[in-house]
Amino acid sequence: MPLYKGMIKARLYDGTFQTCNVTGLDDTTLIGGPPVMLKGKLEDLRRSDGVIVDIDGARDKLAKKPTVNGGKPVPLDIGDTLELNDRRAVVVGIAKNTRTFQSQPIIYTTYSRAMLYAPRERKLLSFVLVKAKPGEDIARLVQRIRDSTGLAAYTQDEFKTLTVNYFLKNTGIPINFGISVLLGFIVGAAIAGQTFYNFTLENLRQFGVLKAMGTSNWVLLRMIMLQAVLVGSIGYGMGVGLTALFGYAMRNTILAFKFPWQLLVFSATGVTLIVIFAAMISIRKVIKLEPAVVFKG
Amino acid sequence: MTSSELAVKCRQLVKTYDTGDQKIAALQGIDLDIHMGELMMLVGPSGCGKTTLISVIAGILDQDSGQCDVFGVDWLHLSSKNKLLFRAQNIGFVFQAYNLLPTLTAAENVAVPLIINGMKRQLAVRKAAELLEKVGLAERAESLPSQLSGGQQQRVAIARSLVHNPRLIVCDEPTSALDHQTGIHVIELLKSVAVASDRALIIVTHDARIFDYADRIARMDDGRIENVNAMARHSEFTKEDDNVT
Repeated sequence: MPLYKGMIKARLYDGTFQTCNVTGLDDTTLIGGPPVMLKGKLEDLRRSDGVIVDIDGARDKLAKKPTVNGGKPVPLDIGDTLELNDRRAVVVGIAKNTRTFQSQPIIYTTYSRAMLYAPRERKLLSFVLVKAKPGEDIARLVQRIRDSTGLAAYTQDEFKTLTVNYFLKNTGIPINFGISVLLGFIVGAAIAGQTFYNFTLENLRQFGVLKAMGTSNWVLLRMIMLQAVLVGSIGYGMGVGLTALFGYAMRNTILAFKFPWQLLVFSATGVTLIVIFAAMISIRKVIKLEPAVVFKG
Repeated sequence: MTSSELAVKCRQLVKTYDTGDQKIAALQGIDLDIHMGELMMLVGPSGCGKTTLISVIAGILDQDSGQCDVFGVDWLHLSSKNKLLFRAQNIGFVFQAYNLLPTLTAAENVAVPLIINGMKRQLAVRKAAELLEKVGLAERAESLPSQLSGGQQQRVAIARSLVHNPRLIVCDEPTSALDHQTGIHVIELLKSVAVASDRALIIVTHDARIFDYADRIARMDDGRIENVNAMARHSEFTKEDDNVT
């Protein structure tokens, strides 16, 4: 089945333009459509000039002007029209999509209609979707397609990897995310370390008193580690809780939010490292502390 | 109450601090005996080595040379672990700034030495509350240090120094942060509850008001013991040492 995927400018009600991510589905099967239809049916794409718009785009970037001054924009709905490359498009459905890094509205239409909307190019076909027969060896099928067409062919997993690699290699996302995470880690370690160290300095005399009274370094070390673990756990709990709350609050917006368990493990590891770093500085100070400090004024 | 048995025996104690630029001789050959049942006060001008001497006697600072025996045990012959153990069992501390743990109640503060010595927390707190009753703070057992007056905090600190029944109590300026009346109350309390035939007390002080409570007073200057006076001569001693305060 042919599939078109491309960026096309849509002319809105107020005459402004908005670039949209247009997907043209195979006219017969409509394979590759949106995962969830909120209004209308996927088959409505077969109606004249029919397009399906994602809910976030309909509410936000493709929304109509407020009916009253200072009012809220009116979401695009079934029956509303757009212009895609000077051609009329009628909204026949509203869909819910998995959010991506890109914030452009997503518009679905049929492959043949997408050909009309898209600016003329020599080859407009983006992808060909293949559905294997039950029991077919996917790897061999992929190889057969490669051999017979000379085109690149991928399994579902290979295509996912290809997409991820594209973002990793060709966009600034990993660098920006990496820098953000690194900065967060450095700033977190510095602040946590400094705060914890200050706490130790403020209580140095108390540690000295305990040492003078016969408390061993091992016991003091355990005390500091316990405090560090407690502080780290509270901080981690608050951080994860607030993040989850943020994600929940953003569930109906265009922001893409995903909070997999791997992220929990990753952040727990990060917090543990920060806590260990902060505790080590304090432990060193306390272990080197002369108990005679208790008699200093 | 003083017995002939020695609690502390210092011979030719020397301690020097190296500050980088210069060496400061804090103790220059100290000889001092403190007997069981005795309340010994160390007096002298600031920087004369009083604090260094009690730190060495209490085993929280090592001397450079000389001998310091506490109940017949030379600190330098103890391993770090045994030193901690010996200190935990035999030494009680009272500090000028009380040094109570601010997040613990009075009873919990008093219980700390018992817990360090391995007693279960619940039992230790119960014993601590009993001792607080003895120092007149039964109703304040659940108070935090910040909720107590200076005199009350020092009474808690005295209870803490006694709770594990140590044989040597080392006090650093226990009355100097207190007003006259409270200072007298505290030293009277210390004398009444801490002095015993099986125990010795060393008090470092500048406070001439409490000199009368000492059995003997050792006057220090420039890292040396100038003289050791028994209380009989003490009024005279106080007069000639007005500059000490």
